[in-house]
Amino acid sequence: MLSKLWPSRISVNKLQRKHIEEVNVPTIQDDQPYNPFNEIRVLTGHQDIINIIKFIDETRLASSADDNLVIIWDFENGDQLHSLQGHTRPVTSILVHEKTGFKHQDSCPVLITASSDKTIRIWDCGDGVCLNTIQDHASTVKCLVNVNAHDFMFCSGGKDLCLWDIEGKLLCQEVQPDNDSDVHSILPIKKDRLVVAFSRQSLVVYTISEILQNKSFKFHSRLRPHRDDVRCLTSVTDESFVSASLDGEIIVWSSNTLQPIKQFNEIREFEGDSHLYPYSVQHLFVLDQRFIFAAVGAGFSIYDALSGKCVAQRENVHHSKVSYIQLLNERFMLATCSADGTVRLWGSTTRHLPDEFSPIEHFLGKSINDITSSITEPGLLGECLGHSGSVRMIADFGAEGFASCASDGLIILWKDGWRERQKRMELATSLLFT
Amino acid sequence: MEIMHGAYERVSSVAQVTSYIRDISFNSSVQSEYADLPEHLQISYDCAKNPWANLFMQDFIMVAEFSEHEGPRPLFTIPDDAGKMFDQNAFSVHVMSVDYHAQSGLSFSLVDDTQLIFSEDRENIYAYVHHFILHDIEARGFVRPFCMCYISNSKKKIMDNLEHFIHEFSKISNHFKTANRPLFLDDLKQRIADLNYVNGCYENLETKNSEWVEVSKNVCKNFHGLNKETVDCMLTEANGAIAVLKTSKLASRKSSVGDNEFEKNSSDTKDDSEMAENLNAEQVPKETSNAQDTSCYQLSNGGQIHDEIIERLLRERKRHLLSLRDIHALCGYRAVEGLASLQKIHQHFYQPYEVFSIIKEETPLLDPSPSTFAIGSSFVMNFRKNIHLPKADSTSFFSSDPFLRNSFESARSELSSESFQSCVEENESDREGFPGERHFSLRTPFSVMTTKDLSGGANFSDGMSDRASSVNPSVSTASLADLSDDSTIERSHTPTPPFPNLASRPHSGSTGDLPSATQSSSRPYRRQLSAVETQTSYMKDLLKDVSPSTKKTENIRKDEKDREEDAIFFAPGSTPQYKVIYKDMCEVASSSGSAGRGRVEDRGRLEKINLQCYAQQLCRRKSDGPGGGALRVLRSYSYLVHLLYALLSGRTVVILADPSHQRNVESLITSLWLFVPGHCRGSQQVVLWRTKPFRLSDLGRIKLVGLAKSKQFNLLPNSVETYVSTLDFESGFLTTPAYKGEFLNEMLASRRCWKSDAMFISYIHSVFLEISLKAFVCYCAISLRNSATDANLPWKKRTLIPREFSVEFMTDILDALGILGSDARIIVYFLDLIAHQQLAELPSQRYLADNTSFDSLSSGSTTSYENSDSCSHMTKTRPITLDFAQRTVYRKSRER
Repeated sequence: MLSKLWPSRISVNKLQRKHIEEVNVPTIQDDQPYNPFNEIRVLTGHQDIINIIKFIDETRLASSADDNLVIIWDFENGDQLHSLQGHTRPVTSILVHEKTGFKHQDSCPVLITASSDKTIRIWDCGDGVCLNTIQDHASTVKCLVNVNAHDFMFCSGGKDLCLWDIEGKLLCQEVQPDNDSDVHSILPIKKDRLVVAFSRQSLVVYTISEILQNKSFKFHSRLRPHRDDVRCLTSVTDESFVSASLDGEIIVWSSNTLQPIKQFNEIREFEGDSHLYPYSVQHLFVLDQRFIFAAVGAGFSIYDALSGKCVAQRENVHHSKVSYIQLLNERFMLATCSADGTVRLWGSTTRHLPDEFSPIEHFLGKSINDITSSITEPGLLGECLGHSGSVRMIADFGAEGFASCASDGLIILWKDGWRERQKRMELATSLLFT
Repeated sequence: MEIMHGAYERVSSVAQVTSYIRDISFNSSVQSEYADLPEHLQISYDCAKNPWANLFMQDFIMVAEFSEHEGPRPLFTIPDDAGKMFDQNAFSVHVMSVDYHAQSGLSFSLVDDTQLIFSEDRENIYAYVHHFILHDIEARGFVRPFCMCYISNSKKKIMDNLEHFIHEFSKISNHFKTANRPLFLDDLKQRIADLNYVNGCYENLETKNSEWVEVSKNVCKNFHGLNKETVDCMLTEANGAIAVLKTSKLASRKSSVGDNEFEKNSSDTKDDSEMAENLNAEQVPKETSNAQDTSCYQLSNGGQIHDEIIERLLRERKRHLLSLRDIHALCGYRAVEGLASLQKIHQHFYQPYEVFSIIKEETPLLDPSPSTFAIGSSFVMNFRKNIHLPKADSTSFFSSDPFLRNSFESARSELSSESFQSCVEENESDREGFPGERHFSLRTPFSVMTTKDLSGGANFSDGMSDRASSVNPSVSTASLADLSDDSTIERSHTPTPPFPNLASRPHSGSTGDLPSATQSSSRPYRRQLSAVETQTSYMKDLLKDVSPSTKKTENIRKDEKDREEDAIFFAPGSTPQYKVIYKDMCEVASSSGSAGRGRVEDRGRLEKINLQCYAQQLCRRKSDGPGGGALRVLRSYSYLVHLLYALLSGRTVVILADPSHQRNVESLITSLWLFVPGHCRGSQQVVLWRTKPFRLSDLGRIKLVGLAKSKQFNLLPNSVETYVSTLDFESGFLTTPAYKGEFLNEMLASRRCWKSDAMFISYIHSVFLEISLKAFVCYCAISLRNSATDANLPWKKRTLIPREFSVEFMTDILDALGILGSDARIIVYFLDLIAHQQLAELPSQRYLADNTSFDSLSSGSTTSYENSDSCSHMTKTRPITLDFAQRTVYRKSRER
């Protein structure tokens, strides 16, 4: 099955690599003294490309692959806890809901999975039982989002936009007959609004109106278009959100006025020589409601949403485009995943700041006042090479390490070798002298 | 009857002589000497020409029988080609010339086995001879005397292990006998039916039953010499035999409930019970083996049945013309099992006495198994604390199953009485209490291993083999002169107190891979007991030799610790003790009741380890085990020190070669195997040849592999290649981190001084021991430090010692031990291995789940903990340690 998918991908990568190798991609030269992740567990359970990996709680993670399976793993020891079978097409989105809501389950989180088989399934993480199957969707479901944290509702998108309560009851639906592209991201913002991203240039805003307990979607407005298709959408603060597009443009919007506040990374010739969009933004996340970390092309950039400046940037950190980025919380390292099969770790090698400093300060090795003064170039701290295919996503487990998934069908748990050894030694030697 | 037996004896005496003469006639060299035949009819074995006069030879097993036609004759030997220099015929005449079973008189009876020790000091030939009798319907008096001889040059070996010889050979003879008996009984039944048929014919003649007279007349014509008297005589004989069998069977069943322990095969047990039922009902058996009802044969003028009966009976009359049936015919399909067991016995006992005694001494050190440390499939040392606690050893030889713990108390008391018999009895009585759930295992864990064994049969190239690689004990370094010169092994130093209280475990050193693990109790203990006494006293002597200080401390500590240990051993949640359990464990376990079955199987899987003592490695004749040819490889290439470093520090080594060099690569890998630490249960660390791609997940498991080069595929992906050391077999390019340390350089410095692999390997083992001892010191130091921390808290709540302190602490220890540079990595890897092994064992102990200090093991999977799968999670996906060290490329260079 993999081989079917390979040829096209490889050809793209080859072209891309050829193009990028002309520029200097940093390589690890030493024994990686800064890379703590030298103990791995390889989880083999999926038979196909793994697309999504999701943190459930401190010890568990969920993964979904093109083999239509969702598997819950134990992060501690790599055990396959549950294999959730039911979907007949690949899962496109996973949502973890912590709150109690189901009558027979009190504390265990539930997993909501959306699939291209036009269904949404709700699973119990504790025993792997499918609690509910929602089949009301008329089209492929592309994304899931938690709309209201208190009174849990979730929204799903595809060809149509639906709102459900936790029991799986359809609250309202909006069909978009004139739109030929699917909803791929939904972002709830204040005033019961939803920002919806299609594979189009403009974002669309809907309002959830409630008349006599009946909810309905109401078209609100269409925002100023990006120059190319919108790829990422996430919130910055309560008052603002950010979207990024294929051309590399990143726009911070005001949630109130729905107007752009800041714009970053405007590239004139964004298509590149061979239409590969070398500056496209594949993924972004926001730290401390202020710093926007964006995977731009084969590099990454960090922008300050307050000052509108770029605070750190590195181009060409991988041989292929960076597909996913994540700041590893306890270690203040930025992990970048790429189609070249590696996860690279970036951060400051120079200064070690006291604990009370904020993550961004630790990451950049600078105090907050100096951050905006110049563009920092984070150093390459380590390279986690293990996958033999494109790395799709990682999930951070704090002090315990992180997990990565890739197109080779493997999940690798990267753990702090020193810490694991320490734990084992303590346990093992306690047997000697108990 | 009397006539028959008389005849038997007469014939036998003649046959004895005839046989001998015939043998001589075959032997051309002595033919002239014995040209005058009659003189030698009185030959005695004290004559000048010793029949087994021979030169150096290897131990072998010979099976002989007393043929009623030919007299004593050898049947076969194990191994097949053994004893060529040995006059087997003469020897069999000698051991079988006396009718050891004559005590029973002239009527049919069942006789016990007899055992003999045969010694010929002048020729340095010693033998353990085990006589037993099988029953054959076609044989005179229904008896077929057999004997199994274990022939050796070492008197000590036989004398010291007499108990085990008796035990193991008895098991085999019992095996043959139990297999033979039902077949014989069937034959008897048929015989009786046949005779009844003939009798019927005669009766018809006498009573002139008009209807049948004519038919019967015709029939009787065919009977030739089979007159009524003879038929009556035969009938009495057969009935007598059945009666004897019946009484003995009932008696033995009463006396030994555990008899069926021996009979692992449930169908066999069924046979027995059926047989017993038949006998109990006092029915003269009516059915022949081929299910024909012979009790009411229809008379006829001929016909198939008639012909068959006549043929069978005439066969009986003409038996002197027929060749005797072989052991396969006598015992059915189970003969094969018995012979296989004999081979195993040979495999175990054939090793030189020195090796044998080292194994015996080191066996106790294998407990507890998780802390055993092995390099190159040979045991190096045990990272345990209570090496001198006698009770620890004696307890651990029972299964550590929690549900057996109840019986520990009584078992312990019996053990302390130092009587083997009472120990056995105790177990039997226990067995009655818990039928089917008691497994009493008496074995040493060593087995002789060849490359084939270790890599799981012919399936070299592919993944997991059920056989684990192995562990072995040699707490001591042996400075070994070349064993092939028959010199002895001296123990140059014994770093840990070498003898746990041997006296308290009289079973120590029982045979390793011998056929069945369980006690067979159908044999009287008379002989065993005396053997045990000898054994025990020998061990006491041994103990005197132990360094006095150890002994003293032991005595002093013993009292103090007694109470303490009781608490430790019988309190829930105390230090677990493990037992190495062997292949047969699984079989035994699977025959146990369904209760707790999953767990038992689980244990069987977890605890299966193949073991080897380094001494065995040394005495191996072929160089096909780990380390074979190591000297040749290392002598030539000095740059291989980096490769050894990679192996010893846990980095996977891949030898890439063209498929045409597969054999060479396999032998190179066999040599390098010597340096692969750990016994990595349930997985295969060394793969001689692999043609599948090497995947990332293989990294944790495989430590040394030969990989075929392929033009089409890259069998070693980049993502894996970074973390392994590669040796290109053709070009000699070695890509591996550089070794900057002392251990290995020192070890290899003297490599040119050694003359043989055996010497070199024994030296290397002494170095391994030294390194392991340093690791052990580190282990203890870490343990002492850790015990001061908050050990009772669950893992999540504990604060790990900050990295800086921990690193500093480690550095201090290593500095103090003089471990520098790359050597530290080796030590750390050794520690890792031990920790892994110990933790892998943890989840199998159910009560640990309740212990909060091991919370981290169960946390997160609490809901699914009932699921037996999660109990063994430590072993499911092994963590793989990635070595980020930069690699250097070395070129092949012969040393100056």
